Amino acid sequence: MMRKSGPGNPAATPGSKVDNDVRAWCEKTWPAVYRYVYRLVQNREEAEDLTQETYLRTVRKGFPQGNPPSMGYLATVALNLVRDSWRRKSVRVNTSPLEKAALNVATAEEDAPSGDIIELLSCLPDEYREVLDLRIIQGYSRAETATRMGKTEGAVRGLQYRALVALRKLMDENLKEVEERESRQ
Amino acid sequence: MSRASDGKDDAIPTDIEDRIDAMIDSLREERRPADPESALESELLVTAKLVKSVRKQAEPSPDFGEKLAASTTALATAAKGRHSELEKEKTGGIRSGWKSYSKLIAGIAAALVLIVTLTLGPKLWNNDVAYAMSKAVGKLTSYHGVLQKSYKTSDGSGQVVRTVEVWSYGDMYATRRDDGIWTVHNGEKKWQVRPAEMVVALLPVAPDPDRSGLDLREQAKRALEYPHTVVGEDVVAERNTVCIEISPPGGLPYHLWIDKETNLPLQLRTAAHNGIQTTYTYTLFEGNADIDPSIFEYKVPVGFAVVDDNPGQWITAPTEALGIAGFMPVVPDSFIGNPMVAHSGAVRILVNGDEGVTVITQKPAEGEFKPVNYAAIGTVAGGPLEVLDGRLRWQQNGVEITVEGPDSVVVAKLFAPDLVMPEESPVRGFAPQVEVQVDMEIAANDQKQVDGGHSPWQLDPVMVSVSFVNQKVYEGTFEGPNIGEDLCTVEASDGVRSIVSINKGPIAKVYLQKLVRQDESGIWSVVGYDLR
Repeated sequence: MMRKSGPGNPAATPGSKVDNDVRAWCEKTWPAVYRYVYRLVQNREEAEDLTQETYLRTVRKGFPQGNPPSMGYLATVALNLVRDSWRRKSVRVNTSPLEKAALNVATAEEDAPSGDIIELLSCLPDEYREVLDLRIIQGYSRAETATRMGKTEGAVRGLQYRALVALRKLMDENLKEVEERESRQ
Repeated sequence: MSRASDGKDDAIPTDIEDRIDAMIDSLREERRPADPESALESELLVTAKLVKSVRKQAEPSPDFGEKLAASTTALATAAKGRHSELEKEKTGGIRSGWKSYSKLIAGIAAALVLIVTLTLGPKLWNNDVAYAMSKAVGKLTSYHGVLQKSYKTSDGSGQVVRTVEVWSYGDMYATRRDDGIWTVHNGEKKWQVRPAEMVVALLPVAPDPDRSGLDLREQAKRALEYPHTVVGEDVVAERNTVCIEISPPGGLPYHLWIDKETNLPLQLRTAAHNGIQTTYTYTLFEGNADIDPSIFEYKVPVGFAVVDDNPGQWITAPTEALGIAGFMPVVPDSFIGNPMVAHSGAVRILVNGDEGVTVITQKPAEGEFKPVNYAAIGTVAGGPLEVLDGRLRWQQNGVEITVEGPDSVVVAKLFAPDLVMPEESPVRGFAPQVEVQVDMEIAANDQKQVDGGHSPWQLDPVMVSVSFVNQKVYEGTFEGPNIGEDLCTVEASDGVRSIVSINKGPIAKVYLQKLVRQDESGIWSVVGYDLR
């Protein structure tokens, strides 16, 4: 534990009672909230920040029924925070079809890799698939990826960009097909 | 794996390729990627995240759960105290004005941190030291520090003038000055403990000038809206720092020191005004410190008197205000049921938002509404809207309404849907018969003078017009009487361009523009006029 900064406020009484219920609720729920947020943002730093913000917002609103809220409530707060952050970052106001797809990934069953993504990756040219695999899935640096692919770092930079553009196009087409299929049913 | 070339290996990397590359590096290093600069970048980032979802999730930091549980518990304990007091008030236990604000005020301090993050993000997405600072500030949930204010004169002598110890946690903060005076804001109540006088003074919770005055980061947020460059490294409070120089357009540069390890601002030095430079330094700063929430509990020490200079009464319906405030406030349907406080001659409504509290103050209108000369002017409810320092003021249904706070425009539009902000209604008819050439070197020097506290009249378009017209008469360019500001009316102003009509003399209209700096600190220059 970090040390407490004790001010010696003449109007304060030190040593407030720790609310064991809140601590137990937080300890029980936070791993699931973190995993949920992580599936949306795909990086630890942002996932930790948004998880923390989820609890901050929830606690600030208070517990109207006297009890800490359910996991479903926390997930809703977290999802709204992620959406807000996307809106802040995006030049658009609305959620794009791709972002909706990303939300679907997050709400799919935990720890189940998305079959759609794997299938779409397999449709890419070998070189595109390889650079995305090395750089993003296996997590190699650009220099390491360049060595493994026998290319310059500059070439890897351009290749990964074009690979993402191609994958995005495939995803768009896939999403349109799904929409058309659903509209026919 | 295949090594088939796509024939573009030697292509020159573009900016977007560099940015996507940096985003991929952020993801693989489990860091927050920079904000996208375009819709395409945004979609490619989402695509990269979907690819990464195939990979196993990264575990959180080892102590993340423990820290989260501790901070959540502490915050809940503090919030519980606030909520229980609110409940007591609602059931008739206490009716004493500011105590009743609890729920509405929650969130005011978190805005300090969030505003910095949200406003700086898009512009400074690269590896800029300022961007790193905004990220670091965004991670702060609490802090404890000692802030020192000192000054230095042109002959090199200096003096520490005040030391303030600061505790901040979520919505709450407390400060202790070196003269022993405490100021505490716990989200629902603000008070000052003055040991020398044995007094606890209750203070209005909003607006809250103490907060912006003590927080270096708030200063940094404003500063970083302007161009800045790294000018060196230095040791401040035994910490290695990077010094950046911030240059407001047309103003004198000033400096900010940022901790190299934590990326948090440690020191701010203003430009020299009247030969004096003021420096604010955190001689001690602990980010995310574990702060005892009991310091934010309101308790009156034994033997201390409570002074409440601003009593008010909790009301739940506008009709209740009639007997207390002496008038019926304007309250849209969507606000019915919101807690309100009625004072003698005024009613306040507070609206809590994600970025802090927005305050609506109403009082009976007195005569015709006339915006101050140096405000930007919009329109609302068939009359003028005054916009100044982010505060909106107008008359509606015989009531003068003032809205200030982070959501002022959104809230004001709930009261008056026809509200048009100055920037939404550019000044029309800005076509002077006679154009006046402005010497930009002189204007820039004038701006520096005003920044230094001299000739503040140059911020007022009416005063600038009066000076211009009288100067023309004095020079003999025209014949006519000297005019005063009582003969001038701001006909239109969007905050950057302004037309002032003159009711007497040879000049009928003066056209002014902010040429050096286009914000509320910018001076007005005359760019033309119409003859009568």
